Amino acid sequence: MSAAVDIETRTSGLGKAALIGAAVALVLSVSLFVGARYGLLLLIGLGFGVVLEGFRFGFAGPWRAMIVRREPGGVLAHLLSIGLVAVVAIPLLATNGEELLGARAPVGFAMIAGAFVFGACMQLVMGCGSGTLINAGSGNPVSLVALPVFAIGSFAGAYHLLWWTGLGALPVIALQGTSGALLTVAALALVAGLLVWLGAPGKRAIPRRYVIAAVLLAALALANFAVAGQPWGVVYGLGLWAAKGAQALGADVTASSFWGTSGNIDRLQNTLLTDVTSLTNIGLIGGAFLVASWRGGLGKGMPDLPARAWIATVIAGFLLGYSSRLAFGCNVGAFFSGISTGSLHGWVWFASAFAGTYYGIKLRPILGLEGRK
Amino acid sequence: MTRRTTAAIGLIALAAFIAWDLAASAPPDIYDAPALVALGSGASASGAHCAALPSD
Repeated sequence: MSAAVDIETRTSGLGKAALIGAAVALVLSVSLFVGARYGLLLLIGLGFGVVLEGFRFGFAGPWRAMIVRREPGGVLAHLLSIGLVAVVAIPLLATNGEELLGARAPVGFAMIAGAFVFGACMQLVMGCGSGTLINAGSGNPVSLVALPVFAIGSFAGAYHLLWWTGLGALPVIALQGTSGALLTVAALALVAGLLVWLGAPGKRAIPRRYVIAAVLLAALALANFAVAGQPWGVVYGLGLWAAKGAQALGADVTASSFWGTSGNIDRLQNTLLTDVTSLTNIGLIGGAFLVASWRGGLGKGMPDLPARAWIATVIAGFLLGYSSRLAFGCNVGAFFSGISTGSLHGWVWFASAFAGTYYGIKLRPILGLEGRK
Repeated sequence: MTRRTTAAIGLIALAAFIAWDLAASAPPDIYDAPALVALGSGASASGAHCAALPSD
């Protein structure tokens, strides 16, 4: 065994105990000093991070694999996970509507355009809402650059949200109760069948690790739903972080029709450790860091990207945040949670973002994001 | 430079942001914290979600 491997083994042996200790201490501290629910949500967020990074499971990569190599396995795993959540969440919303909220939003012009832009930009950054947090936690410099501007974009998109929805939107349409859950599962099965049919021969199966990740993700999403009273989301929390920053710099964010509502003013005044999506976002970053450190994945070097790739990352990061607010969510809030709680906007988001993804993939080499040849 | 450096920068920045937020925000009231689990608590959901339109 080489000296380098010796050092790596010794370091990781000590590091593992420290990593677990730090995670436990963080969850206990939040539980004791902020509230038990908040500590539990942080733990669920850490679980999301561990599963997504641990199984190398995300959204941008599998969508790219389907379009570029006609490998539907990852997207099929998404549909499996969404279906598992839907059969529990949609009936629960019908029976416990006072305590629970679905990710239900109106379909509109800005929503459709927002999802399209998001789909394109997530291929440029190679990360969606959760993916950017996961990649930032595992030290990916592209995501670390994209994350702050994603937050600023999310804040700005929310600031202008009502202007955009005023351009035209349908009322909220959502499938309800047991029949709604069955209809959702039937529609998911139909899309899965289409993807299998479009897939390349010999590449149509779902890899085992994706099946495990999909089941674990569904369990965590349901836990989040029961504990928080609302589905898993990402972009609201990021926008709140930027709103707090803007307020600290002297901006009157409450002048906005969005940030000026009483609920948002409360959240701006209270610590982000009492905000549901902020907690799971922090957990996603922490969980990804934990796994990346655990398996010694932080030794990777930096990508060799031209200046235009970094400029594209900043612009795409901002657009990811802005467009996801117009689209009423990212892959998590709209696609995953929207469909799994019966919302029509989740389905429209899926179709529009998938179309955007196609163009995002085409743009990557033009913007230098495939690295120097 | 490796990802160890960038990950450390990211985590330190996040920790600093949380520390600043805790110092700048109203102190959390543990006695006013919600029930551990929303489902079955009888309380209406009050969190914010990216799919929700703003409402007072």
